[in-house]
Amino acid sequence: MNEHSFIFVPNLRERDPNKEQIIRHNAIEMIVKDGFDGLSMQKLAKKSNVSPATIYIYFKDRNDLIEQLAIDSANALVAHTFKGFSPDMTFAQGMKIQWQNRADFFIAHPIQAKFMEQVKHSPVGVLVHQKIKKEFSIVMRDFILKAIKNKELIKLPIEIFWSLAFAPLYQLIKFHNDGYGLHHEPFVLTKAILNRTLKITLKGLKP
Amino acid sequence: MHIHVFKTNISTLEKRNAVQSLLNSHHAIIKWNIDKWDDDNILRIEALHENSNEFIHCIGEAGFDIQLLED
Repeated sequence: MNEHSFIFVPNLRERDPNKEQIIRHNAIEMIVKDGFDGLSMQKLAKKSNVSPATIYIYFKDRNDLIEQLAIDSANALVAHTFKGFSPDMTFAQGMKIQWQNRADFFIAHPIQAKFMEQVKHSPVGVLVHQKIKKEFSIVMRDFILKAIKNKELIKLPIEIFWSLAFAPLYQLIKFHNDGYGLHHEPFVLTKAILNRTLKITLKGLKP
Repeated sequence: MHIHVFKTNISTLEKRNAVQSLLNSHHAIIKWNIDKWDDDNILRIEALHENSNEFIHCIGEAGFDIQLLED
């Protein structure tokens, strides 16, 4: 115990959730526009109309900021992906919900989608994977193993499964968020297109 | 807990090592770090009290430039 133990002094640098939200939003925008190297605390402070010191109330340093953004984005995606989903569903039911949820998330948050793509191909991606791995992996593993056992899904190395099961969806989302398809014609990902693609994908994954 | 943010010239590993023992042994410091990705070599201190002058004095005495950044 020391002399400070008896004195209550309020923290002069109080946390403000609104300011924190603005800082987070602007940081993601800056990273998407200029890459990780383009993010500086000075520029971020200016864009967010706060003092650089304010940013350090919420984040230890620039790397901590990037890691927190990446982990929060990944957690938000996982939470959204599993909305209304259960590993006990049939493979077709579960995939339909996951496809719709993933599409909803990335279409509602196109900047976050680009940010997460950048994270995936950076050293931060490894950290994010480790942090969210447990919950996500357990649910997906149970879902996949049950589908294989029930002969709804062929047994494949995970990379092949993932490429077949989700890459078509992500390409469609990319076309949608870009606003155009392969030949630069306007493209909108409708429910009908999504369901049609899913149907073909499921056919390819059946034993 | 109080967060103090300073602009410094603690720009190299050698300089960081020089302040490490000072900061580690300071009775009021809970945690500290220097943002090595920032041009202003920001020193962030989580402390038991709100008196920044104590830290400015401590780092200044060690021969480094230090300036409090206001929130």
